[in-house]
Amino acid sequence: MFFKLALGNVRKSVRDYAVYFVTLALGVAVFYAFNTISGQADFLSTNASEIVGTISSIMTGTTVFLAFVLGFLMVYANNYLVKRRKRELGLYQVLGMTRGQVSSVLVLETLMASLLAFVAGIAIGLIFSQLLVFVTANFLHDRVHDFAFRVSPEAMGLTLLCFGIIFLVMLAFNLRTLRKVRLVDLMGAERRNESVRLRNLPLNVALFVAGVGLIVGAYVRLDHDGLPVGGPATLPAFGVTTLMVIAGTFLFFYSVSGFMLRVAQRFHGAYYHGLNMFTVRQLAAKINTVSISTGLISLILFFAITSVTSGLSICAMLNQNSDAGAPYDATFTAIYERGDGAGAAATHPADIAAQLKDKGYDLGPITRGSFLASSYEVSSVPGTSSMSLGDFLAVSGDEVPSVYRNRDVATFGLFMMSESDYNAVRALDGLGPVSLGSDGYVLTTDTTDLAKVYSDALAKGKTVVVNGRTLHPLQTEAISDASARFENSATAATNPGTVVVPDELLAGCTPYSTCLGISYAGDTDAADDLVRRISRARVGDLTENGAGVAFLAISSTRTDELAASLGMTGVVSYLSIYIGFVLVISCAAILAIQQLSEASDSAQRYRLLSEIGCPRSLSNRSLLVQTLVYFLAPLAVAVAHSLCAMRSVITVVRLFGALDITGVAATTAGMFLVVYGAYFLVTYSVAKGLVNAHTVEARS
Amino acid sequence: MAPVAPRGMGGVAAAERPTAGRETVLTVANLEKVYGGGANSATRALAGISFSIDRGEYVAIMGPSGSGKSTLLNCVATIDQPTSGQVFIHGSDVTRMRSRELSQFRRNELGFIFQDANLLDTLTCRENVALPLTIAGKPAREIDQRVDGIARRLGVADQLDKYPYQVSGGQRQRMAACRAMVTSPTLVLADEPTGALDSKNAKLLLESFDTLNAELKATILMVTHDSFAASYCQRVLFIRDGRIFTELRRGEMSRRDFFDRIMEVVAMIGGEGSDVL
Ligand SMILES: Nc1ncnc2c1ncn2[C@@H]1O[C@H](COP(=O)(O)OP(=O)(O)OP(=O)(O)O)[C@@H](O)[C@H]1O
Ligand SMILES: [Mg+2]
Repeated sequence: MFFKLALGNVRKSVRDYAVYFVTLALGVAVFYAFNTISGQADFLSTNASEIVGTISSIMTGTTVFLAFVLGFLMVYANNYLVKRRKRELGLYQVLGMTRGQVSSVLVLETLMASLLAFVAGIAIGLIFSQLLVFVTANFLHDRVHDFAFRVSPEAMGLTLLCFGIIFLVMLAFNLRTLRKVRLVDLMGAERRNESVRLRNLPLNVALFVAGVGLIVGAYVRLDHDGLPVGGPATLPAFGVTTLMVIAGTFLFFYSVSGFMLRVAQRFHGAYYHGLNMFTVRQLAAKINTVSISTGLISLILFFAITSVTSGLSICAMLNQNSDAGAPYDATFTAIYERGDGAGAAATHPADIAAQLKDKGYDLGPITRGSFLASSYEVSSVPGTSSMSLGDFLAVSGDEVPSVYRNRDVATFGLFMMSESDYNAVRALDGLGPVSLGSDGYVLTTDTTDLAKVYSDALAKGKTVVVNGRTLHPLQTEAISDASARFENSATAATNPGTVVVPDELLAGCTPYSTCLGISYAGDTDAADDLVRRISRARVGDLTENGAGVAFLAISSTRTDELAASLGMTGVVSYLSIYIGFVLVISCAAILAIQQLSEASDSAQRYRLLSEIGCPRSLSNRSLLVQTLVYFLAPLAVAVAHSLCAMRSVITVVRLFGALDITGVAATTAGMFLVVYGAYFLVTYSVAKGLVNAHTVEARS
Repeated sequence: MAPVAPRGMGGVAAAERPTAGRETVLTVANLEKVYGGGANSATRALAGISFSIDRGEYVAIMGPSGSGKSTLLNCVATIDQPTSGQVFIHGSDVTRMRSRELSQFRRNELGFIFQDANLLDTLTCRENVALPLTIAGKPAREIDQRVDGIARRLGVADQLDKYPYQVSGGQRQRMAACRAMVTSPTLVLADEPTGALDSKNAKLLLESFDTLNAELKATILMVTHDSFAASYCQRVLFIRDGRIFTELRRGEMSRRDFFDRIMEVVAMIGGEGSDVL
């Protein structure tokens, strides 16, 4: 009998349930699709790039985070529903049902609606994820085959588990709501005024000033410190900045309404004009009661905007860099044992090709041209000084690039390379040789931020001392063309600064690393195959006179680098857009629910307005302004936060290469605004319908 | 027709006006209201009721529960649409007006007081009283003056800056009266304004109405169950089954005598009301 009652109720209050239903279905769809993706992203782990690790940890974090967001959303949507129906539930009790019976009706209702929504959500999710595969395929230029669509039972199970938990939490909240209110309140739910909390004015102003102060303080700190990329030591400071912006945002929304009310009242004439007074009071009363959730929404929007924008800008940069980042058909890099290690110190570079041939991998047939170039650290070349980043900064007069701000620039040494090694690199790149004479040097780097520092120092005639000889710069700019790269890497810079010096100065020193770069003769596929075989074989030690001196660390083909870059571009854009949309939709849905619930709570007020002769156009305009402010306030704060944060994000991203973010930012902003705006429009028109249904005009 | 009295807070000017001239403010002609479309289920709440009220009159409507009092008031208030018949206020037929005209008409000509004060809880009392004036686009300075003036008359000036839930029920009801009167409407309509008040607060409110009627020449039409409340009026219309059953004029009678007469009619109609006092 309860079942029938519950079923009837769901049918009767379809409109109320619609909000809950759509939100739940959307949540399930998005959650399912998201978890499908994180499963599909596994293929990335074959690439040893550092960023992959970052991405998977971001994804884990994001999954947890999104589950919380969705949980909050569900509890919220459902709470709205229960609140709407308090009166009806109270009536059941008046009619003699026990509280337990009323509860079971409620549980049954929610369960039925939720099950339906879950099924619908999974269906939408399946279509959605399939659709996204097309988008992905487009991203990846058909490169990644692992991205084929599949129904993921794990994702479905996980979704069911998460929403099961969320459902139980939601029920607990509902039953608590039901238990907490007394019957008389239940019956009066429609009538009872949410009492307007009064706050004293000086306190309000103080809180407002404190909130704005905290936010501005956090902006300044972030602008100065940058993101915490300098290691664990910088995390506490960043944590403080984060806490400041969070606390500031909540304080801001807690006090802004009272503050604005006072400001509005100062403009007496405008305040007493039309419905302005009513509009301001409505907003003040409302933002009061929802200040916490508004703050939260603002922060979530902030997170969404920054994660999408950073993701997309990383991609823009990756696409831009992928060709320049892999200038050679294949490269091999050997890293030397340190003198104090088990092996002997090498006195000259290892011939990687010859050693590989000894081990049965003959590169000869696939090689048309090659270079073998070694890099030396300051510490392994005696009599060398004036070679740290700090030394160059001292001459250039530039500020420390913010990413390096947290490092010790005095010990951040540059590398050295001999003139003939470097000319061999240039030859393979198809560039003419450089000639250093006896006391000249040139400097190469592929790191954009540092290139500027070096160029400024070179232009001022910065000298370096190598092996006791003082060298003068031959060029006024750092070289950052293809010859600044000695190994392939489409996803990151590899050369933080290498000084090219006359050959004799490095003779007999132990290199830090040696790179072998080759251009293929003949078929690329076959050649790639050989290089990959070498990769997989983990050749390991390179020996000299029977002792291990170096080990083969990395070998990489251009083909694989480009694929990795594309794959990463795809996944990063995919994830960031995806997360962004989930968050934006969640926020918009919460705002919509709040606004609709507010509209139906206020219906009586609008009726009264119409009774005392307020024309519909006037009250609709007031509703429009309220809805607009309600949607725009958290967005405006989020955008302000994001603009500040993006400055720092761009600084970090620029590490990988040059970056133009305007197009990306505009696209992102556009997409978000469309979604957000659509929610706004729907909310306004539904709220308008709700409110106007109660006015006098609707009666006659 | 007598010249129309100057509008606004012209209490003194209105009082000096010779009372000989009579001006009809409200005319209800053959008003009929049928609820429900079905043949069997239809309720005839108003069955062709007719009466008229002059400027400055203070009239009560009484009758048993379900006799159509609220329906009548709502039709006059343009909140409800009658099935047939006419309602003339200030010479215009409100049953013919379209919704845009109606809201303007309500704003300019009518004032409402409901059983529960129905103030907006988010606004202070001052703002509630000011609301009809701001909607009408009056300048802020004039609004302040008018609000203070009417609140002083009704004895709630010192409560103006509180929120509705911070003042007593009686004060709330008087605030609602302020809001209804602040525009100096042609006609003030009140549906059981004392219904939710105890006898002391009811008396205070009724005395306020009396003041407004006497000093501002406000025309008041009040629905009530309460014979004591009705005894404050100059005329009482008794309704039964959607028709005027009879009417009583106070004339030169004392309020005590008038009250007794009202009680007699109430007893005759057989409504409740007799148990109110
Ligand atoms: N919206 C409606 N739909 C159908 N019938 C209605 C409606 N409103 C009122 N009625 C009926 O019209 C008749 C008159 O109702 P009305 O509310 O005018 O009575 P009343 O005199 O104000 O009674 P009370 O003194 O109890 O307030 C009643 O029989 C009532 O049931
Ligand atoms: Mg009634």
